[in-house]
Amino acid sequence: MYSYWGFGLHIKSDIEFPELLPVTFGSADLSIYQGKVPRQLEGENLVKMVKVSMNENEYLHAVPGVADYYASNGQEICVEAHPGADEKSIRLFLLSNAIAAILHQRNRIPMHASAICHEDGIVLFCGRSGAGKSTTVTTFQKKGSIVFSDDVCVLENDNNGELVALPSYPMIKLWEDSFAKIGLETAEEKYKIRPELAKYARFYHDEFDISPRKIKQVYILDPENRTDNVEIKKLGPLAGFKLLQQNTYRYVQMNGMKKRNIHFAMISKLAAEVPVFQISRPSHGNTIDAVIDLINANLLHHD
Amino acid sequence: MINTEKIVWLASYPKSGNTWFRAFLTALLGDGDLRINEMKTDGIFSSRGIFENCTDTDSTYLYDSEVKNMMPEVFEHQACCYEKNKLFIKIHDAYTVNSKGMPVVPRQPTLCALYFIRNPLDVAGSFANHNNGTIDEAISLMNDNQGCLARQRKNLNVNNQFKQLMLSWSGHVLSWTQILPFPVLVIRYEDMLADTYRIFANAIEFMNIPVAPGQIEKAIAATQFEKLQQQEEADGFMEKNKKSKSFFRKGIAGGWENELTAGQIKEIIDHHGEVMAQYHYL
Repeated sequence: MYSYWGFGLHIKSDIEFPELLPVTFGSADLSIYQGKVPRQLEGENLVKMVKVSMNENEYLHAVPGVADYYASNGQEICVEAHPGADEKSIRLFLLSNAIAAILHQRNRIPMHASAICHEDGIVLFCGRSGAGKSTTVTTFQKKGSIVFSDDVCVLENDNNGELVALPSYPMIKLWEDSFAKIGLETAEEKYKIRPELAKYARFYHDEFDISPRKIKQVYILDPENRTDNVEIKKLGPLAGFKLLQQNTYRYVQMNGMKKRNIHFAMISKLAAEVPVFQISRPSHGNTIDAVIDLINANLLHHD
Repeated sequence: MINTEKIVWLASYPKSGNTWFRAFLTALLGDGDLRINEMKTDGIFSSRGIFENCTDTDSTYLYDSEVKNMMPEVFEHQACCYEKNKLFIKIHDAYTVNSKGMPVVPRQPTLCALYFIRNPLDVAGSFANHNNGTIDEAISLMNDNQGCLARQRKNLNVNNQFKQLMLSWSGHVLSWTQILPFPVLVIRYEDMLADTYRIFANAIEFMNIPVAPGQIEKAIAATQFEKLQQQEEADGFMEKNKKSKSFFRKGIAGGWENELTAGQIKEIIDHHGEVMAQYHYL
């Protein structure tokens, strides 16, 4: 049995996860095990979609050719691998879907955001897949910053009622072309996150800090809003709220599991307390250094 | 009983009148009101947004074959989700089967399809403009038996549309005009230009959309090519390829005579002559 920390949870698992942080602890928040998953969910308030169904406390997800996943009561994930499935794919969809369901079941809100540590807090970079979140934090890392989290940050209220974020796990996922953009050597084949996908893992277990942190600033990376130069714009609370809401991780679950109220309260608080900026950039060319310079200048200016 | 046969596929090779027809439908369903950036039709088959909404999956982690295997179920689900009795969905994919041997376009939620066809000699110039590429590049794609749209540049699986297998221009036409398990009405772009009212009225009847007297005329007036062009000039058009200068370019038939070289004309006719003849382009 393996013991890990990930997404703010102590995780006990009979599957090995090189992605998560090995730790020792007393009682587990979440158990991951291999077994038979239910064929379907029953009962009222069931939301059924394609290969996925959910209610407030159960989530059943199938990835054909990979595995079936059943996440329940914020405490357990049962995995039933499909014949011939590779382990990387099995872990990838668990860490993106079933885990998000566990977080929602525990009333925690995962944001689609990467983050770097900044002073006593963190700076969030939100955006859809392909927006440049991982490229941005890896470039910051190359220039000496500590990466807080990649792809997902979990929001929660701490014991003092303050809004804080927790990291996901110490692995950055980078598309093939990002390595050259950042000035890194091309990754080896063995680091692919799925055998036929041009996306690679970069682990940073040694500098991974699991303590909850306050959010200092949020940057929305918007690949649809193209400009001739790299531009930064401070958003008003309403526009900030709207874009933060769009960057909720696995928003289908938020609706299907009836977490809209909790989500609304968290996002409203974030938009009210933290400055939100939008970054637009040209559609072509390598603009990552210009983006980093602009963010650094903005961080100084708004401290 | 809930009617789930409600999808009308608006199918075409790119630059063949599909968007003009969707603008017309928008004006028709909106009583003459048309804003090109607010089309009232129901998205495109290749949309990642539709797929992710139905599957709760980060589609950038999926292989193209996995996506195509799930597509039929995604659109069956779409048809069940909507209360309205017709969904108009644009599609540039050819009618092909996925790796499970199932048609990517599902039979069960389909009401019918309209297939828009345009002289490939005119498509070439328009397609080149759309891609901000050369006419030779457009012809090369039209001749490619495995031709695709939205090829996920540099192997990055993040484009907001999935890769669309179109086959060659002829392959595309043949895939949609073979005997399919639902009714298909073939509409020539040239006929839309020459006899707009009759062609559009016929399409409306084929789709079984009830209309009031004068409604079709009003919608046609709102979607004159010059008006679409003016709107694009004033506000831009969100469906324009980022690399292209404008979406609504000329909108005419026969422009190829001033655009293509003799070699390019021969290249197209050599590859597509048989299908062109079938649709009276030769």
